[in-house]
Amino acid sequence: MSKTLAGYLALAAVLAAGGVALAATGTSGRPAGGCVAVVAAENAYGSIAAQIGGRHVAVTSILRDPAADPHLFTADTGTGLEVARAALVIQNGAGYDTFMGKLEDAAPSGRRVVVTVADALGIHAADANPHLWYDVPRLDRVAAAIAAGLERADPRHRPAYRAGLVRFQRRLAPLRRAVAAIRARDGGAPVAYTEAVPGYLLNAAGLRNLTPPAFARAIENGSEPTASAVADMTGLLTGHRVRALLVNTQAISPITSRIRSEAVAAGIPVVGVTETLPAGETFQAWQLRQARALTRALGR
Amino acid sequence: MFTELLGQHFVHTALLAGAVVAVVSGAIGTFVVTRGASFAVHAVSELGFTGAAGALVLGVDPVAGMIAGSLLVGGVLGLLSLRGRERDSAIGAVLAFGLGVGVLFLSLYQGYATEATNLLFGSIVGVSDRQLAVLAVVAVIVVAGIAAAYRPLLFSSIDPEVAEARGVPVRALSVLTFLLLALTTAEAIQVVGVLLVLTLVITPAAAAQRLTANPATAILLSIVIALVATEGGILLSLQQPWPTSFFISAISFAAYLGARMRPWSL
Repeated sequence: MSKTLAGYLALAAVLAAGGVALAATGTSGRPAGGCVAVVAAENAYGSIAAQIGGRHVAVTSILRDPAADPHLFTADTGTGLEVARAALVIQNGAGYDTFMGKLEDAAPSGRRVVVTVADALGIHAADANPHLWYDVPRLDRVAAAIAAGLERADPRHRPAYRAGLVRFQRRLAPLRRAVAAIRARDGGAPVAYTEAVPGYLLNAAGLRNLTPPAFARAIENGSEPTASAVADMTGLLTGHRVRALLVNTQAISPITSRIRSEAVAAGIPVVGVTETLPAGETFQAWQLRQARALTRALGR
Repeated sequence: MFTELLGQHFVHTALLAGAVVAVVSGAIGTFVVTRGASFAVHAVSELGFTGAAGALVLGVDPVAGMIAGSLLVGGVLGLLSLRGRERDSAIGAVLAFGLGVGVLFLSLYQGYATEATNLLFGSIVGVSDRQLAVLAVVAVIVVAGIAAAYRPLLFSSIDPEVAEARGVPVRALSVLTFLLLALTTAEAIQVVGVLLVLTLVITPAAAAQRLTANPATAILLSIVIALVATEGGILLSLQQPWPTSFFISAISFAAYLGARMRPWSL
């Protein structure tokens, strides 16, 4: 090994040591402006937290663009800062937002409360459908877990959060009625989707999902569906074996567009759904709008 | 917001991880560029993705799978000890098949594949203290490997025919180079992602070789360029919320352009 190189390696070691010294001076999150800083990985949970917490919370959501595919999300420094500052973090889990765990590990904090919805619902299977905010019958438990997280992060306003939880659960009533109405009128009706996004909603409404699992999974993971899965899916539509097609408008690919046109050509109603809550809508208004669109589609 | 970000633990970790990765990438890059094996870097990193997808199917840690995938491909490419015209096509064939296997793994995986797909872009703001420690240990291994075999490694990279004639174990050194490259790539993937590994392993070394003919100086310059690109890229992404990997690749490419346009050398 040459002397020059030894010198350079020593220099590199000194630089690295300087970096270690810099890293030792870390700080961790703090609530902003007297409000509890809440970060929700998905804005559906952000909306629920904002409604329960009212004026005591400042909610930031990370996945919030219904025009962007959440699978292609990459965290930037702003996201890292939001997680570092948060007193309460709400995340879905079930593999939907694995970036959250990394951001939390990168910004360790003894005070941060983390609510993982999948844990609150006892969902641990690796192949579970992760779109838990569509699970209307279990939204009560989701909201209760979020309220409990707020109480732990900010015990001073416990009564406000309890009242907020009761208020929010009342606001879910129209959505529950809409889902119950689909079950009563169209229960057992066959439907299909491009992705399992509204899967729990279909279960709650008692609809029969005929989508080939391999098709939905491939679309979900951005991989290539097998020829037989595409053929099965197309057959459902051209053979009029389903009464509605639910399309995730957030992850459009040439295949989903083609499936959509097949449905339109066969006269099968298409219902657009999104994974992410559109701006300006509350969680329950969004879900109710989609449930009503499904009701209308099944009525045609 | 910039000053608040500078006080954050995760930003310090990112800067440190960036520095560690820059040092090893800049160092190994010089040997890879000298060998004319840039395309191999791309193959090793892309097949790290295949390894991660395979790990998901087996239910083990995707990062471990990525390292295993990179090492396997690095070992194979090193054993083939390819030269000349044959090299590009052989690497292309290995790369294409490996990616095909990756596509198969993704379709076999029953769950949510975001952990593998996230590797394509890297996530420098999500590096934990434990990961940083692993990065540092791997970096020490790579630097020690280079230092231990520095002269023969360089000789066999610059002129494999003459080195072989003089009895230098060219094939073993080729395997060593590619294994060290595989480890470096597995590190760099976590910072800039599979798609941009070349920006740390190849671009700085290529720029450095434009500036000097002395191998030791080239290694130093390459490390410095990689350091400026990663640290500068991270700092710029604190100011402007664009992906860190974009800034890193932009600085690295600017250094390359600058080196190309300079008519003299050091």
